[in-house]
Amino acid sequence: MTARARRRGRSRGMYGAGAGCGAPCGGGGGRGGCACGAGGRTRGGGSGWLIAIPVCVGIWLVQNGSEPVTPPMPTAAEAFAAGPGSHTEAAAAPMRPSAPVRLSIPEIKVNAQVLGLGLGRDGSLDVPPPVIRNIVGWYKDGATPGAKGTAVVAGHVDNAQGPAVFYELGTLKKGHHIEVTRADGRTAVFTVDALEVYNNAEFPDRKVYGATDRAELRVITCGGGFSKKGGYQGNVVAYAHLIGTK
Amino acid sequence: MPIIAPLLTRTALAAAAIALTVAGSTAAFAGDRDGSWDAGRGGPEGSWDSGRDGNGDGGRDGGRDGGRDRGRPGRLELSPRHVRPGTTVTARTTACGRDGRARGFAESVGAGEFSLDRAAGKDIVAGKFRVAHHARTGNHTIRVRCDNGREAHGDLFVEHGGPTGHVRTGVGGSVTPDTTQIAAGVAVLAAAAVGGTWLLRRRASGAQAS
Repeated sequence: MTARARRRGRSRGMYGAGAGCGAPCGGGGGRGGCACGAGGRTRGGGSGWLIAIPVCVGIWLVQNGSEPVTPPMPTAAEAFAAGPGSHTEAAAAPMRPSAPVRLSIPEIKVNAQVLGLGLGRDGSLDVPPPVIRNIVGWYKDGATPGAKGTAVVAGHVDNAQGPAVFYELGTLKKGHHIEVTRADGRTAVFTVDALEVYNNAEFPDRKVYGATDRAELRVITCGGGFSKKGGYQGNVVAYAHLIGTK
Repeated sequence: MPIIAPLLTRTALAAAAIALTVAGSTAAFAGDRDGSWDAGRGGPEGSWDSGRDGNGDGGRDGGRDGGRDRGRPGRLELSPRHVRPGTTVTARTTACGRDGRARGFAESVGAGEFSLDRAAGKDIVAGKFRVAHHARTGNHTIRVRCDNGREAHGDLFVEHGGPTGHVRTGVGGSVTPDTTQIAAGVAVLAAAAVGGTWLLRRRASGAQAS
C-alpha cells in the first residue's frame, strides 16, 4: 500500500520539503503574510497594490515553474478495486498467436512500432533503445497480444532529450482502449482494467507477469516519483484485457 | 512464434531418432522408453526423487545397478534440475563406469549433443549443456549414452519465468522545470516593473507640479 501512498497527480516538488507551499508570496491567499505586499501598503492608495499583486504573482510563477515536473501519475481511483480478473467488459475469446507490429492508444495519442524484447541478465525485461522516442517493446518469449496469456509491453516514459512514447501513460483511465496491430493483419482491442504504481523494490512479479487463462495485456513504463540520484522510483503498470478484434 | 514451430518439429524428430536408435539396438528398452516419453512428467520424477536421498552414494549404487542390469538406464544427475532458459546445467552419471566417456542428448531443450568426460579421479563422467532460450516449459528427459553402451536418463524441468522486477524505461529527461510558467512569471514581473516605474514617474511629476 505504500505504492498507493506514492501515487500523486502531476507531481511537482518532489525535491525539497514543502516546496511550492512555502513561496514567499504564496498564492494561498494569506493576505497579511505576503511579504511583497508591504511596500504597496506603505504607499497607501490602490496603485501600490496594482504593482504588488503582479510582483507576487510573477515571483510565484517563476518559483513554482522552477520546480521539476514529473510525468503524470494515475490516481488511486484507477487502481484495481478487486484485483485482476474482475473485469467490467466481457473478455473476448483469445486469438491465435501472432507477433505484434504496432500499438496504439488513441486517448493519449500513442501510435508506435513494436519491437521484440528478451530478458536482461538480471531477469528483468530489456527495454527498447532509448534514443528512439516513439517505440515500444514486447516480451517476445511470452504471450503475443491477443493470444491467451499475459502479453507484456514496455516503453520509455522519457529519454535524455525529454518525454517519450509512454509519457502520458499515467493519464489513462479504466475503460480506455489499447489496440495492437499484429503480423496476421488483425488488430487486438484491449480495454484498460486498472492502472497501478509500484515501487521498484516492491514490484509484484506474479500479479504483473503471471499467467492468465484469457488474453491480457500489460503496458509498463517508469514513474512513481523521481530523484536525481536514483532515477525513477517505480513503474506504472496498465492492466488490460482483450475485448474484441478488428 | 513462427520460429518455434520448426524447432518443435526438429525436437520431435531428434527425439524420435534417439528413440528409434535405442529401440533398434536394445529391444528390451522399448517398453520402458515409450512409457517415459508418454507418461513423461510423473514417472521419471518419482524415480529421481527416490534416488536423491542418498545423493553421492545413491548415485554410485545406481550406476552399479545400471552396470549389472543393462536393460535399465542409469541415473543421470542434473544440477540444477529446475531451470530457466539460458541456464547451464551440469550432467553427471556413474553409469559409464571407470574411465568411461559418454555423449549426452539435450535436443529437447535446444542444446543439441554434449560430451561427458571423466571427472578427475572418480568413476563419474560429467558434462555441461546450456538450456536454449526457446526451450519449452515443462519436463524434458535428458539422455546420455556411454561408450560402453549403457544409458542414463535424467529429468529437467524448464520454466519460462518471464520477466521479473521493474523495467528501466526512463532516465528523467522529461523531469525539467516548466519553462512556460517561468517565462510567464518573468513577463508578469517585467510588466510590474514597467508599470511601477511609470507610476513612480507620474507621482514624481505630480509632486513637482504641485
